[in-house]
Amino acid sequence: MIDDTGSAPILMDLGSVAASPLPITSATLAIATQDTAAEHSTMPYRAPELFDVQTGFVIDTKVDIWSMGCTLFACLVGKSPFEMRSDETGGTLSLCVQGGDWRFPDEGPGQTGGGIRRAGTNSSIKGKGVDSGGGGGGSSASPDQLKISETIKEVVRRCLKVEPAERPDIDELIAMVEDVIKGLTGDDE
Amino acid sequence: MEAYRIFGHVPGIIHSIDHAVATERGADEQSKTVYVLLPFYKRGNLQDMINANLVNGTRFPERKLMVLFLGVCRALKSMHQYKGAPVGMERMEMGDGDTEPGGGGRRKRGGKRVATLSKVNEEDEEREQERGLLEGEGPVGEGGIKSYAHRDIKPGMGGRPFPSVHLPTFYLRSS
Repeated sequence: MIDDTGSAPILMDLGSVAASPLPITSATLAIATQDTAAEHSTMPYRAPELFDVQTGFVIDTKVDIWSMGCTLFACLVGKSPFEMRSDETGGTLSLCVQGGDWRFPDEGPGQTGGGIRRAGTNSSIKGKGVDSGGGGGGSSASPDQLKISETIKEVVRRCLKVEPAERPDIDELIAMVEDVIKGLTGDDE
Repeated sequence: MEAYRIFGHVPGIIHSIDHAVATERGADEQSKTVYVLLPFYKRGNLQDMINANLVNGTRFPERKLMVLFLGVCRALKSMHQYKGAPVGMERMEMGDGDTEPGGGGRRKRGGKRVATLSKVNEEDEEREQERGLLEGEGPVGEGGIKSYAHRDIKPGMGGRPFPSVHLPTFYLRSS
């Protein structure tokens, strides 16, 4: 997706581009859209609504926001959140995606990253139940080297909402990322 | 292919250098293969960087990563909120070519459009600024905003490092 000349990213592989929003007005269109997605988009980065396209839904640019969230996660962790999760649990990739089942590696089931985010994330994920945000550890002191800024994690969380309407649009995402960058001035590891 | 043409002018989105439509030998008329010649970026893609990090046990410096990510966001924005081709193209189709000097001469469709591409680049920068001003004002001007979803955003896109060319194939469904 990104090729790098210096530090400028380039969006590529435009073979999958489609007009948006695309209202799914018929079962035929639903199947066609799902097939197109299966053909053109990569599973670990594909939005849940493209796995099971329903008549009456609208497929829009929020699918890209999802993929952006997966991409950012992959940059931080090394692979797509759902690849990681399905590797861990042995569950199928599509079930992980559609269930919104993922987490940061430093936020294991027993650990408490911060109660707020647990509550927030879980509310959008029904029947997850793996990690209940109990306990009261204040700082999320991660044991290993994988220490990711909370602000960046929040960006990922926002993008990976199963419900498309809950994801930010591109303007909101840009604003969030700009804020994060401001907050990160200087501190690098 | 259409997409490469539509977004050819947008900074941050790949542009095609050339393309050719070929019918495979022995194949019937309907199945054509479109070869697209794209620029080669020697630094590879984001997936390569991720892989390098995994191998070396390193990580992206967070700030650098987010700046990079922001660049992708901005490129994606120009796709999600596509404001029409910067130069005459979109306007030309709307039939108000007279806003562009020499616009009348560029009304012809099809192959002619390619000929205007160098012109496009010249005026790109200027339009960029204009576009900046229009941002936030909602659908403005000719034709308003069209929206496109990329639908396949991921770190590891694009061709493998062929020497300087990369030939993905796209199959035409119709026409």
